[in-house]
Amino acid sequence: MFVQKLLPVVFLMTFFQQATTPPAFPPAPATPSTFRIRGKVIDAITGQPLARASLALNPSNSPNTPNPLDSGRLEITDGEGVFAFVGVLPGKYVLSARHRGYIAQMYQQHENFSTAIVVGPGFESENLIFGLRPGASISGDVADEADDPIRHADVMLYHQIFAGGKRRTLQVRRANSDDEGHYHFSGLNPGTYFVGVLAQPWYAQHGVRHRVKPENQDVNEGGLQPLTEQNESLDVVYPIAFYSHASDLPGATPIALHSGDMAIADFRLRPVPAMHVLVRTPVTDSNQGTGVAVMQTVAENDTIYIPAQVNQLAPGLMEVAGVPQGRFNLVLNTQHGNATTHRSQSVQLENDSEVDTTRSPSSLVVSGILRVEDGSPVPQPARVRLRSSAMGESFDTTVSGTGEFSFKDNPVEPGNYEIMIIEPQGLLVRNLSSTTARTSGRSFEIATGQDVTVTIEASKGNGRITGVALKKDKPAAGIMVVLAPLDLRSNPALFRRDQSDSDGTFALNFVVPGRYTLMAIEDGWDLEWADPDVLQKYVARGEKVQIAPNQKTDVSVKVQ
Amino acid sequence: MLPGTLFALLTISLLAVPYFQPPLPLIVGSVSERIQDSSSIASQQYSSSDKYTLRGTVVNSVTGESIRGALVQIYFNGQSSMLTGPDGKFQFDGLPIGQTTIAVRKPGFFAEDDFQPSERGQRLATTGPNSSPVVLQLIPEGVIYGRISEDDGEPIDGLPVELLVQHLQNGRKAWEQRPGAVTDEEGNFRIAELPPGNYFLSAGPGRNPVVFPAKLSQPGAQGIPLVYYPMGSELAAAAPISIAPGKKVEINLTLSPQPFYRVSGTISGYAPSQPVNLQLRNSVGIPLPYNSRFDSASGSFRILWVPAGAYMLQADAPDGHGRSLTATVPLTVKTDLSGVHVILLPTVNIPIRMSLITSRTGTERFSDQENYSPAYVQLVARNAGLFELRYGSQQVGEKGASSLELQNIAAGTYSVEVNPNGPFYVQSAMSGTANLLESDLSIAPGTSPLPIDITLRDDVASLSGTVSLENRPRSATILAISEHASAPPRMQPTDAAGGFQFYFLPPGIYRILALDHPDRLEYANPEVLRKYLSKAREVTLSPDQSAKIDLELAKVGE
Repeated sequence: MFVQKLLPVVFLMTFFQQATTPPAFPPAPATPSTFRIRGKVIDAITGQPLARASLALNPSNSPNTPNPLDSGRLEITDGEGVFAFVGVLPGKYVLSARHRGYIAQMYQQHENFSTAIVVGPGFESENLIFGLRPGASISGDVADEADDPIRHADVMLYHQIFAGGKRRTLQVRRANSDDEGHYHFSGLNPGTYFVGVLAQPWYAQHGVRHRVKPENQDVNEGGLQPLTEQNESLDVVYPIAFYSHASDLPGATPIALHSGDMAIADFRLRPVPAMHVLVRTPVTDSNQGTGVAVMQTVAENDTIYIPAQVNQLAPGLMEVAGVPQGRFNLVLNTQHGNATTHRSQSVQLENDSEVDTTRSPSSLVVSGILRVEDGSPVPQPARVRLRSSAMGESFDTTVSGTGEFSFKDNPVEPGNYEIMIIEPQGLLVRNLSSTTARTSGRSFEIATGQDVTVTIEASKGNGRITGVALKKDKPAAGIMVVLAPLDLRSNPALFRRDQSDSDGTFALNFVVPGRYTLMAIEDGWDLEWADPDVLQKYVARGEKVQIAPNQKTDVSVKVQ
Repeated sequence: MLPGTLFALLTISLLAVPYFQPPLPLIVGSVSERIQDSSSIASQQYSSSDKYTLRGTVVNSVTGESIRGALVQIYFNGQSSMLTGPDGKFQFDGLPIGQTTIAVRKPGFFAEDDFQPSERGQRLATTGPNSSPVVLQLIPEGVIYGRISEDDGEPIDGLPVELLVQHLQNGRKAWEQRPGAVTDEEGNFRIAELPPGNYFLSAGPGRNPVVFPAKLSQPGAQGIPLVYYPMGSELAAAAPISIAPGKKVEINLTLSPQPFYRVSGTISGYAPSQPVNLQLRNSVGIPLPYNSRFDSASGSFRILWVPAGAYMLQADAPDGHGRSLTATVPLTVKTDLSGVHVILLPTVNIPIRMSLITSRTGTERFSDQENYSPAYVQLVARNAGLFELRYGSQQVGEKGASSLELQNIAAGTYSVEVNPNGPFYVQSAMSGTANLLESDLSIAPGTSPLPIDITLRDDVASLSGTVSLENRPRSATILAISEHASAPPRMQPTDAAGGFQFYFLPPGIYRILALDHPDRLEYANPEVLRKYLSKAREVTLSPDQSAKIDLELAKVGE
């Protein structure tokens, strides 16, 4: 069972449904029998029963069918940790539980998958054991060079997780230190974490270091005059810091948490001189404005805003102050009429250096054509997204009915990019090709200083696979089901997964038409399934399936 | 925290009511230079090649201890900053003779001028042969912290904790909601950066019940209600927590689950396919996070889990044609409440007709400016609980021929404030025969109100003078109190030498009072003001008159 929303939302849905939900259905006609969902909530580590845990039961519907009013139910465990929902109509239900100090979870939850409980004649819905794991925590104090607490420091928590079958380090939480410099992240899953802090010295002074001479306003012809900083000792910044004593994520010390662990990560930040960097931007006429922002790529998909001070000295000339030395992304937003061009450039900022963005390498434009496999026009509205693997930035643009698109408002630097269709839903990238860039799956590499044209082949209409995971010919619950394209190294967007429910059933939606291998893997949740070498050994005992557009396929698969 | 935001926090109010600051009056002719002279004293310099030193100490206003690492800033030829040393001392060298504003700050402290009206909060320091060291005070912040648990000792996590504080704003008592906190998994909360004051603390309501009914739609839920410290659901019965500078107060609360009731009923008058927003407010107007459900097909609504108490149920919806519909229904919840009927009624737009009687040359050029309106009009509803609601006039119509309108006004009673946008005063503001300068504007449900007619004049009077105490000039804030009780007193700070000037006073009889700390006085309350009036001087200003007056300083609190 795949649940699109993360757990806290699932739990709350019970309490607060949108005002727009359809009216309550009239009470269902009395069925001959109702059933009971009964079980026990325990501490998954000690096995101790948990009293006063609350459980929510929601009908398991397809994502497009919201639950009717009042369909959710709640129960609370007794002193022995036992709960029971009585009078339950036959059907499929998502069960979730929470308890203070434990991580709220769906039943047998893995990532966003859980085992739904099937209720009806012949199905076992009692004697459930629902293990909750005590939440771990990381807390600490952030102090400045004088050992004074730094309040309102921006503390970022990174978690090394499995996502999309790969190990990735993602920012999972963000908090501010309090007036004592203290921060606290609680309710954490076991795993490997990193902590980073971004703060500004509260006393920092970043006066401009340049001015335009009143008598000579041509900044290219000696019109720029350096100024001496009156408060140089206060013209300082804290570079981003990672626990412990590291300046970036690769150098950070991993914090390994087991269930219930309470880790401490204290910081003492030391100021470094702030840079003053001249940035030349394309000279814009009076109808245009250029804004400069400074970003820093910290982790994959995580680019944070650095609160730099940007002063325009003259049209086309900015002074960026209040940043430490280092590599940053300079983001240039140029407004022309109603359109905004957004461009990023990776730069090394050093003192008294000058950055010329007018002659940057990042003037490459990615454009292309999107073809629907059956030759039909592209349904409107349609949008594609270009994502930079290095910067973590993404840009969207529209696709015309004849399939043309261009990211002309977002010129990019050479590097690795990924392209995806974000609208309409159900139109999926099947293949990506280019004569001017090397492609792999749905990503491509821009190596040269040339504009890039790509061709996207898209599949419209998708298939659905339902089935049962069988272990010794009996339905098996909680099994990871993976659907992989025959070529394991092709487009990762073609993979689909689910977790089998208590009756062994699973469903895979939005499957791009084509040939696949379907595998059911027991205890497969820690597998790096996106690594072809890992998955390869399961392929032989998988089921081969051929998926046609708008077709539902039913298949049984043996658990490995 | 970024330095500028500390003070800004003080003015965050609960309701996002657009509080309009009328634009500064446009200044005619040479007057502007003099105004600037009197309001900005920064970086005055005298021609001298000698260099001087400015030294001083920063101390804690409560303990008198010196404060290390405080940022001191002065303004000579631009801004100079330094941090105080381990002994709390600072020293700026190589300064010319003269005078500068001097500011100090440090996290965890307020500067003295944080609590002063911005016009006159600035501290001055003098450099020269005879200047003496400066002592600057920092006022330590207050903190309220504690733990919230259920009566069985189980900590309550995720519970909102809010603070309300009453302070003086424009001479009137006003409530302000401070940024609050949410209890952590151990039930702990902590709220820092509190200026001195009397705070009312509330905890709750809990969003989820702690005791569940068998089915969500059935009665029997219990949960944590909204509680004002020390107990009870009403602010009127709450005890303030007094925060003196530097005080840290621990507040522990034990809360018992109370029955939660369901409120249900129907809504009528909404436009199909338009959303209806339902909001439950408690008896003092604070919105509560009880989620409601509304089914537009059947018109029925339901709010689960409301503790007993008095509430206002407010419904708002767009009518689909650019206007809004609204309704407010008082509720007393003692048990499950069904059959509540909410009838949405259209709000009204009130046109404003403005006329300007000019007698001076040059005044009419104001009306030539595009989209210029000689005054800004606000309706103020004070019956919305603790917080006043303000509705500002909007410009409508074509460019060049625009007029003002008050839009989406619900039935009710409002006071009308007219702020001229230039050298004018309000001669009259009428709604039919009702004089809005003397009485409130009442809008009955389902009626469309008459336009508001406002007449402005430009034959303003001016008043200047100086303030002294024991024959020495003193800086102060001047109040000009009109004979018309409904008109709020006009305020004007003096310069450092006690000189002041009001430029655009409506003609009439005034009592003029010089105060040292009007920010500590509820001067809009005639009862409070009465005891200071013996120090006031009365003047009669006729149209176009420029009068001069000397005043003696009245000290607030003496």
